Formats: sequence, C-alpha cells, structure tokens
Amino acid sequence: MSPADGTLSGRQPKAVQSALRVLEEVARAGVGVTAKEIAENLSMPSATAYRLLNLLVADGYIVRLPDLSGFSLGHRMGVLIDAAVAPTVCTAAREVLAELRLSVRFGVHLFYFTNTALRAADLDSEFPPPVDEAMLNRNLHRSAVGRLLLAEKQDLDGLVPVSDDLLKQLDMVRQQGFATQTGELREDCACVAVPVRSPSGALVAALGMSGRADQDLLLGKQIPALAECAKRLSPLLA
Amino acid sequence: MVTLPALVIPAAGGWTLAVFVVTALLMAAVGYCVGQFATRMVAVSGLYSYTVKGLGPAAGIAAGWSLVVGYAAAAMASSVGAANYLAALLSRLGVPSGAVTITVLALVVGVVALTLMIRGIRLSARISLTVEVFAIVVASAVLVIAFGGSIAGGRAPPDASVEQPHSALGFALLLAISSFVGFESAGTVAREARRPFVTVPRAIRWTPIAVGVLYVFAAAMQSTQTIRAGIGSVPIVLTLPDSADAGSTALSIAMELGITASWFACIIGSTTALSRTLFAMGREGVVPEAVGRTNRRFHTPHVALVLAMPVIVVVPLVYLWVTGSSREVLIGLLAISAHGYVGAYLLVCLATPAFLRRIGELTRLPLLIGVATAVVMIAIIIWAALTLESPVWIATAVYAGLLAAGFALYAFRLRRVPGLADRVGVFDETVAGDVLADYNPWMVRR
Repeated sequence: MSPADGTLSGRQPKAVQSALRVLEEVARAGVGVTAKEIAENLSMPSATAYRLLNLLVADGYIVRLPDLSGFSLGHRMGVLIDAAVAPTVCTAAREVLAELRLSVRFGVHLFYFTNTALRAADLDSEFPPPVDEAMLNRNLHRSAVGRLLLAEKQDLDGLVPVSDDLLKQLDMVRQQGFATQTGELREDCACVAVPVRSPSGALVAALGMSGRADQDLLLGKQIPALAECAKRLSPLLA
Repeated sequence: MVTLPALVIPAAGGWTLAVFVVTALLMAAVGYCVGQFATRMVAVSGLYSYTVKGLGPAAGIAAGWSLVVGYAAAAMASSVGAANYLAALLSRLGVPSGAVTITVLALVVGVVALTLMIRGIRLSARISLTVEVFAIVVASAVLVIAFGGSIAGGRAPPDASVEQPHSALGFALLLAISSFVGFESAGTVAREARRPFVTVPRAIRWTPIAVGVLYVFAAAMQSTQTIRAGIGSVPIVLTLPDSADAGSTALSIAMELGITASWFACIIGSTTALSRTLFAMGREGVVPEAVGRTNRRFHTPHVALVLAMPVIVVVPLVYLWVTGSSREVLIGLLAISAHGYVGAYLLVCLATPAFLRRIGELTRLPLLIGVATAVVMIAIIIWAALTLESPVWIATAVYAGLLAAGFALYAFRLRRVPGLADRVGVFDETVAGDVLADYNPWMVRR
C-alpha cells in the first residue's frame, strides 16, 4: 500500500529512513549495483532491502536494469535533481537581452525550463514580471511561458488540471510557435512568450515579454522581434 | 461463480467448503509467487515469460503450452456454458433446447466474442467488467434470496445429469482450482498499465483472496440448498424452487442471465490471454511469425484470435455431439483446463526461488512458499489422476499429449529458427529514458 492511502501517517520513521538510505546508496554506488551489494553496504537485513528496492522501483525513483539484477536512479529522481540546480546565463546572452530591452518599453524576461518546471534565469529589473517564479510554476496553464512547456508535453497528468479549453490552447501554441496570456495570471497584465530551442530541437528556455493588459495588441506585434532574439540566444544557451 | 460450485459439490460432497478454502489459500500462495515476478519485470506473456526467467527456455515452453491448453480449454468450456444457459433462457420462450440449439448459440457467441476482441482490449475489458459485475451482483442476490426463502424441491434438470461418486476429493480440488484461474493474466496487460509495478502485483495479490471469498460464499449457499433439497447431484443449470409463482421465475431468469453473462466474460478473458500468449510466441518464433502480427487498425493480435476462435467453438461442439451431455463436456474441458493451469502454476512456483536466486534476491519466505505450493500442486494432480471413478486420467492424458505436441513443435522450430532458445520469453526492457544517465536538467522531455 502506498503512503497516499493514509495508513502510514509518518509513524514508521525507521522505514522512511531506511528507504532514503537505500536510495542514497543506489546513487552513490552507480549504475548496475545489485540488491545484495546494497544490503551489504548498508548492513541492512536483505529481506528489508529487497522490499524497499521493489517499492522504490514501483514508484519510479529507481529502475531495474534489463539484466533484472542491477539498479540505477529512475526518472522520478529527475524532479529532485531539477530542484537543486541553479540557472546561469552567460555574458553573451545577457548582452543580447540588454539590446532587446533597450528597444522596447515592455519587460523582457528569460526563463529556463527543467523537465516539468520553469526557472527565472534573467528577469527585467525595470519592468518586473507580473508574478514570481513559484506562482508561475503553480499556474503553468495560465501563463504564456508555462503554456510553452505544456505544449511540449505529451502527457499532462500530474502537471496541471486538464480541460478541453487548455488542450485547444496548447494546439494553438504548437501551430503558431508562440504563446500568449491576457489577464489570466493577473487581471491587469498580459504576456507573450516564444520558445528557445537547442539545435537538436529540445525546448530549453523561453523568452517572455510582459506589459499591461490593455497593451496586448502591441505585445503581439513584438513577437517577430522576440523570435529573432530567441534565434540568436539558442546557440548561447544550449 | 455459481456454476463451478455446482459442479464441485457432487464430487466433494460435504467437503465442498473445505475444498474451496484450501484452493483459495493455494491460489493466494501462487499469487504470492507470481507477484514476486510482477514487481520485478513487465512481461506481455505473463507466466510464460516468468518461467523462462527462472527455469530457462525448455521449462518456459512447457509453461507456455500449459497455459495455452488451460486458456483454450477454459474458453471452450465457457462457450459451452454460455450456449447452455442461453438455450435455457430461450427454452422459456418456447425454443426447444437441444444439441442443435446449443450448436447454433455457441457459434453466435463465438462470432460476437471474436468481433469484440478484434475491436480491441479497451472495449472488451470494459464490457467484460460490466458483465462480470452484473453477474456477481445478480448471482449474490439470487443466492441470498433463494437461501432465505423456504426451499421445497428442485425443478427437473434440463440436462441428464451423471451421478458422480462422492469421494472424488482430488478431482474436486482440481475443478475448484479451475474456478480461480485467470487471476494471473493481469500480468499480460502490464505493458499497457501506467504504473505496472504497483497495479499488477496488487491485482495479482488480491484477486485470489476476493474470488475465494465469493466462491466460499456461493458454495456455502448452494450446498445448504442441495442438502436440504435432497438432490445428489446438481445439474449445470442451477435448479431453483419452481413453485410456479412469478417471483421465483423472475429469479431464475435473472440468475440465468447473470450466469450467461459471466460465461461470456470468461470466454473473452480466456481468449484474450490465449491470444496474447500465442502472439508472444509468434513474436519470438516459437510458432510461425504470422501469429505475432497485429491488426493495423485496432492493434490487436487478430491472426492469433482468428486462428484460436474457431477451434474454441468447434472442439467442444464436436465433443458435445459425441457425448451428448453438456455436463460431461463441461467437466471434461474444465479438467483439461485445470491441468494446464496447475502445470503452469507449478512451474512458476518452482521458477520463483530460482529466479530470485539468479538475480541475488532470494530470501526464505519465497523459497518456502514456492516449493511448498509446488509440492501441493503435484500432490493434487496425482490424487486427481488416481481417482479412477471419475475419468480424470483421460484429461491428464490429453494434457500430456498436447504438451508433447507443443514440445515437438518447439523442437521443430528450434531447428528452423536459429537462436530461438535465446529469444524465448522476451519481456519489456528498461527504456533508455527511464535510466538517469547523462542527465541534462535544462530541457523539456516529451
């Protein structure tokens, strides 16, 4: 039974600690470590270690390699790793951004994408974005940059509440190659965003522009300039 | 749910309840062994792939063919069962119920089932679930009502029932096992499951227990009835008190509808599992590659289905025309089916400790449960086959013959297909995206 059933209630500290130690040992020992080695390294009863390993595999924190005896970190660990890394923007990219900021009277912001979230890499200090990073990540489906991320995903389960409206909007984003938002995140604000892609086509960052809600048409006219800038940023970021 | 206890009761006599409790425990143990595999690997062909991983290709082939025999015979028995109950329903409308009616109905049932399955698993799974829930609810309600009401006597059975000796306990156990089969087939759809290592082991662990409770309940209700009504053997179409009032007739009709529906669900379940095992064998080259092809539009293994379905419908009909008794056909087919399942379960129980040892995760409990369950399985087969009063040894012989034919085919294909032994029992390997190596946090993965 998973902890989500409410039967655990955090009263088995030993089990939780042991599970985390097993996870840590898989990370430390590297790809292909076997269950026996993990039990030995942790001097843990083997039955306990095997049970914990299978639980962690079931939830995707670790994976069993094709030979079935070796283990490695799984895709769920990606979320933890993503949360720990800090975005850095190189000087050349900052110069490109500064150039664009001089030419418009809107906020120009650069966001990096991790697999499931966005991180503020370089925000406009003169015209700050309407909401902060945490708020954006909770409202991916309401923001222009967030919609770029969602449009890239095949499976939205667990990220945002899925609605037919949203799916239609994401289809639009895919067709047009940019995303917009007017008054959805904050009543008085509007945004547009274009993707920055690596040479291999992976979505790595978004270039966003924010203004007042009544300026949405003017913002729309800036999209070609944004796209041009995104093209120049691509080799500098990826 | 209702019919199988009715078949077991004459063979087990007063021991019916004990038989079902023992079988439920045994199946829970098998579920434990299968669960050991299901938490560790994803396999399209279920027990077949599991056995290969534990005991190697030869044992895997034995398990694979055992399953094919088990699934096929179960599907055959179900088509006879469904046709019989449909005939009983139609006879209320004045259609004469005889071998001809049953033949026609069996053909209709086969065609409908085939169409549903080619349309795809999603549709057929939803339909069989609905049907099964309907059947269980109706059957439980009817049993409770019938049990609660006063029971005077039984309606004359529509089929000539054969007197069974009351001491065939081994055979009763074997039959009871066949009422649990299929719980392990959750493993065959693991590839489609969203979180296979969570949902599939859970299904495999809880199904035998839930089914066991249902059967014990059904058996308890019916055996009380039988004893009070004083009938020695119960016909396959359950007899309800026929005191000619409308309520009782409605009950009988509801019951027959429920049972027909559940036989139908059983055809779909067994044939789906059968076609998947054949499909996997086709993919690996154990049987000709054509069997491993899927339909372009519905992505279902239509070649395997189209090959299997006529056999499933025609064989029991021939059997029926020869013997003339639905009950005998049903028991014979179920006995063969049970042999197939017990063979496969036996192998997978033995494979569990071997597999765990190979990957270095063997502990005491799986070893104990695996070996003990295997010993009990062997004991049941021998006990059943030695019960000479009932013709179980024929089923044992048929099963052995089919298994030998399977091995002959394997030996033949082994010579034709190079490297076949290494390809037996494929399973889904970890996809590259699941392993965190060369991980780049700054990108969105689709």
